[in-house]
Amino acid sequence: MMILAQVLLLIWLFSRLLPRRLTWLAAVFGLAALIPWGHGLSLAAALRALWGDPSITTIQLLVLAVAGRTPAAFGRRWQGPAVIAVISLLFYPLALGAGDFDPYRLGFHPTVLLAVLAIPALLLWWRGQVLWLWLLAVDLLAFAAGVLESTNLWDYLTDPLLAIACAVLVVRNLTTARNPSNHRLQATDPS
Amino acid sequence: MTPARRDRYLPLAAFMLATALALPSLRQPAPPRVRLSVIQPALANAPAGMERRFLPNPAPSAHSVTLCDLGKGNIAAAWFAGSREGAADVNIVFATFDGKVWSPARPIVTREQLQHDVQRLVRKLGNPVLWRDAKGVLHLWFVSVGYGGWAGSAINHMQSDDDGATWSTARRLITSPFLNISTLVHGAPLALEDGGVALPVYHEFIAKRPEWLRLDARQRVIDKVRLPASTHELQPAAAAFDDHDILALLRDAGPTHRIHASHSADGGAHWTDATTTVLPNPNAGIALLRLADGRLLLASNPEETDRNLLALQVSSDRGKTWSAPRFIERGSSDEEYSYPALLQDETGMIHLAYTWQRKKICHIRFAPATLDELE
Repeated sequence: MMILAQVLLLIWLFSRLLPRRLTWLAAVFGLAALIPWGHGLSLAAALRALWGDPSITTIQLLVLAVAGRTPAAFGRRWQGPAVIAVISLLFYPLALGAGDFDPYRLGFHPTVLLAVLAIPALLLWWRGQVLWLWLLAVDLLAFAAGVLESTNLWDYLTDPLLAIACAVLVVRNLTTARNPSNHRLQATDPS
Repeated sequence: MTPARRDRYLPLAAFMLATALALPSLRQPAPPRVRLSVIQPALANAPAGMERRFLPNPAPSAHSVTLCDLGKGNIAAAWFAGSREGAADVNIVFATFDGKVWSPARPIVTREQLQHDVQRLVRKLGNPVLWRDAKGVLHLWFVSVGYGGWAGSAINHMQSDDDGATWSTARRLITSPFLNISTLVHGAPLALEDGGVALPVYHEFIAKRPEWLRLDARQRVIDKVRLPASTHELQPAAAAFDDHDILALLRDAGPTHRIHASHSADGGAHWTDATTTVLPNPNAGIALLRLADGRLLLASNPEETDRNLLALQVSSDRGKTWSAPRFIERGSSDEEYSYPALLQDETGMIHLAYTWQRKKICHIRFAPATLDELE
């Protein structure tokens, strides 16, 4: 089932590359990735072996992006992506053995991790920015339901592709903010 | 409710619902407690000396054997076999021993089959580990690689309800947040009192790190512990003295060429800093076994560079001191006898299996009294 997340990723990618009037072709190309080729292997399976399943956060953002409803926090602003990029910059090296502390362990039975994330999400919600609490709530629902193969909350929250995308968004959105004439995005969510 | 109020309070309600549903997964499980195997005292009429057999290997190359007790003196073995290590034709093969002869080896995991089961590209297979739980279910963990070398490995799991005659489909264990790469399994697991299992594993990408996975009775990963102060060690070989006291010996991949050691006093939840022992190691796999009489048995290559010497050593003081090595193999420097696996079956007989010149798997069976001369 989660192999469909690769299809979603490809649909988003093709929709960015194709002219607007040919966006429907993105869905065709994305679904074609499920067709087996050499040795019964599909492009989706090859990509899944490369970068694994996207996190639930990434899937939510991809669905919104494909639906043309990219949240402003990712479409125009840089602060949210910057926080994700910086956390990723610390998290992945430590999880890959850069020290004795492994933050990935906090994602099993993640009471502490959830508390650390819930506090800013609830504060932002209190200030009227509902996006982050939505993202966290859906991630947590998926974690409770065991949607991914993982039993670790980190894998529902983030993934390396999201980290890279956020780093790119920080640069792009900062550049766009300084040169408003270059702004082409249609971010629809005012939060 | 107005649309504005709905838009504001719906995410809060969703978050509260999600938290309530996730509560069972948020709670810390009970501390791990090791379940010690029930092993009979050594057979009074056990054959003297060491019986030596080769396992039937269906391919030119064989490596990384694992052993498992099936009861009544029967054991099972799995290893990887193909044209060479890492080749596309390597399969995980399985054979059983009835106390007299080994059955023909048959593949239980192929690359194509795993690819189908986990819906991912699989380029190579390696390192199987067998374990039989208290209900008699046989478990197999093994590594596979999609892209890159062994450092890109992930762990897969299968199980059998009929002692290996048929196997379930494989499923992928997620043990790393970075593309789920670089967790490898090697070394015998320890059964836990809650029906779960503690699995010695290691990480290879960028830094080499021995790690400790805890799986629940449904074989879901519920904890992962990194052994501290260990940046050049891998492949923990563990033995439990009681339900909470565990010794792990670590293969050396650094400059010391010595086996390292780490202890846990709480069933594997926490570990002491890894320390260097006096035992030589040429960056080669080791096996550790706690015998029913309380002694520790170590199988290793007691040398600094090659893998041509394979020996057994015994410790009667929980690994503080070790006997002189009893050599099982003494080859020339271009020969390899490596990756040992140890098992004491429920009748008390000890089994040693190892890679024999990368061509075959050799099996040696002996009674514990055979080790007395070492002390």
